[in-house]
Amino acid sequence: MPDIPHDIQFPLADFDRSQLPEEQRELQGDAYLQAIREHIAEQFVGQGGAAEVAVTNDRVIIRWKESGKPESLAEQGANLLKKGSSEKGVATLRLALQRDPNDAAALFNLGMSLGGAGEAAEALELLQRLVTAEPGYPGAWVALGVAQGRNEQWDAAIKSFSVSVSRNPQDGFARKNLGAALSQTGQLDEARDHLKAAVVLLPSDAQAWLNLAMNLEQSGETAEAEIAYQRVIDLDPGGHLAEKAEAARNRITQVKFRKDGGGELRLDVLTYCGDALRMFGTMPKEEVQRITMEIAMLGASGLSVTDPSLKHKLRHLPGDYSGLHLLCLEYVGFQIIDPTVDMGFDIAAEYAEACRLRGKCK
Amino acid sequence: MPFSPDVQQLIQQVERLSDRPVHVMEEADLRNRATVTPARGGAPSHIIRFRPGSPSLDYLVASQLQFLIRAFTCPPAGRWDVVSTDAERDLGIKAMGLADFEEPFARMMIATIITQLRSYSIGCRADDWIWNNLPGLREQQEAEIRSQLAENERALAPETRRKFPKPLVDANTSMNALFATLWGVRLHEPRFTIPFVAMGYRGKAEELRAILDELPDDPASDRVMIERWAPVVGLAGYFHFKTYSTD
Repeated sequence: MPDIPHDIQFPLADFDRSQLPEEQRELQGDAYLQAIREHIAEQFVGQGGAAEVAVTNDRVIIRWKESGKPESLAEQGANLLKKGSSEKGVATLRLALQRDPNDAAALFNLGMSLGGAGEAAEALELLQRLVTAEPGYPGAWVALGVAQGRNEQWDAAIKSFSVSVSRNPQDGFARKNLGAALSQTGQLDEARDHLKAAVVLLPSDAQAWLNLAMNLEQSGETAEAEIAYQRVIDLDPGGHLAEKAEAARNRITQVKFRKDGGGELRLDVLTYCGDALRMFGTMPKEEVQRITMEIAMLGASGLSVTDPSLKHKLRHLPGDYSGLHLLCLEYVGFQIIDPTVDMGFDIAAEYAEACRLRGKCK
Repeated sequence: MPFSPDVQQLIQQVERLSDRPVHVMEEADLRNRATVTPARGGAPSHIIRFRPGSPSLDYLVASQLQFLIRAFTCPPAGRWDVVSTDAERDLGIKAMGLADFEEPFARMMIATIITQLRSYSIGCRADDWIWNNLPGLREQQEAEIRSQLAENERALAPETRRKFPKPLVDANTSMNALFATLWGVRLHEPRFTIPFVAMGYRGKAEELRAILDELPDDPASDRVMIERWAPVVGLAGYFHFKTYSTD
């Protein structure tokens, strides 16, 4: 049907005062106009499309478009949830289910909402009902699997996600969740196939990349894991997923770094730490801070501890530096200005030994 | 003219029932979307006129054919026209507040509102039938009805209403309110009724609807329906029924 815009105007004098609540019928002036406006606008609530109501001194103006069908109760509830009115949204969805216990949209949205709010048992019950009543409802099996996962029912969750994948192999969300559930239960190889498929289907989904990265890391595929973690950081800069990815990447670097040293103290690090202690020992604390913060800023975009080339320069300290050298300077700098800072890269043993050798530190 | 098979069947039905041919023709300056002039005396065929350019031609013609079918389904003695004597017309002009207008305009307006009484009441039945029996025309019907609803809304404008006397405006708006109510339910769009309810026409619309619901959907009851609607919209006594014959 054509989306006919309705532009209705009628004389203010023809408005029927008895339509207003009793206490508003005697209103005058602006209060009266306002009461009419609110009364008529209220009639349009939940009818879909868009409506606006204005009341001037001589007429009532109503504009509305027919676009979309009127919202069902379930749609109203879902929209309230989207707008953040969770209490009203949940109440509306419950009302929808009172009217029709098998209202698929209400079961889905209420199940999802309660699951997220920690009411896991009821969420599970609703989503079970949903897949029984309407197994083809979009997202139903994934929602059930998520609810089962929240209840630590991993085998059931894997079954639900698998149903979803078998119904639609191109469903990236199903693949992502199935991969995560399989990883959770230690089935790393099987999980990886789904996680790899998920990042192809959902290339901008940072969580999907994180799931894959974690799986790769657990499987010992650290080079690939680092690439996947980097993708998370690119997709979610400053977000909590990037924070997790950053920590994981540091962890991998640390492992590699220690492996290179055969598990013993690294002499190169010991030397860098000793040099840093000596240099910073002659500087005022403010200068140490300036240098340390400059390296920290530089490090935010990544310093390689495995690349020996002297490719870094500092504004506050002359010379050319490798990534590892700068990290050692930064570590020693923070030990002087604020030892509580966790750089995510542990060279405490080398630092302690350097201090011992200099006979200066605690 | 290439009409849909549904419409062609209806044309054949009318021709069979009335023993008169049906002619359908365009008329560029037609005031309504479509009209029907039944055959009579010197006019040996039923003539359906429509405004050119309508994408809902099949529906428009089908609805006019329904008026003819309902008339010719009744036995000859039960077929009628709605007409007014001069006295009835003058009384109607006075009652509708048209006495102060130029006489030709007043006569045209009283005739128009009585035509609306007939076309809306029987039109409800005709539309029901098309909706329930010709699903192939439903899309056209819905488009046309939505367009009619929008037109009726525009008639609520202060600039339009103040041109005409209140009794006439009330009669017209009451029937439009019923139209909005019926189609609001059928199309799941209750908002069609909002302006009419806000203007206090809910009561009139309910009275008209109650009559519609009480009477059987039988062409033989169409005349009773018009008789019963007339006092609700203030038109009782300003017309009468005259037996119709094609001769």
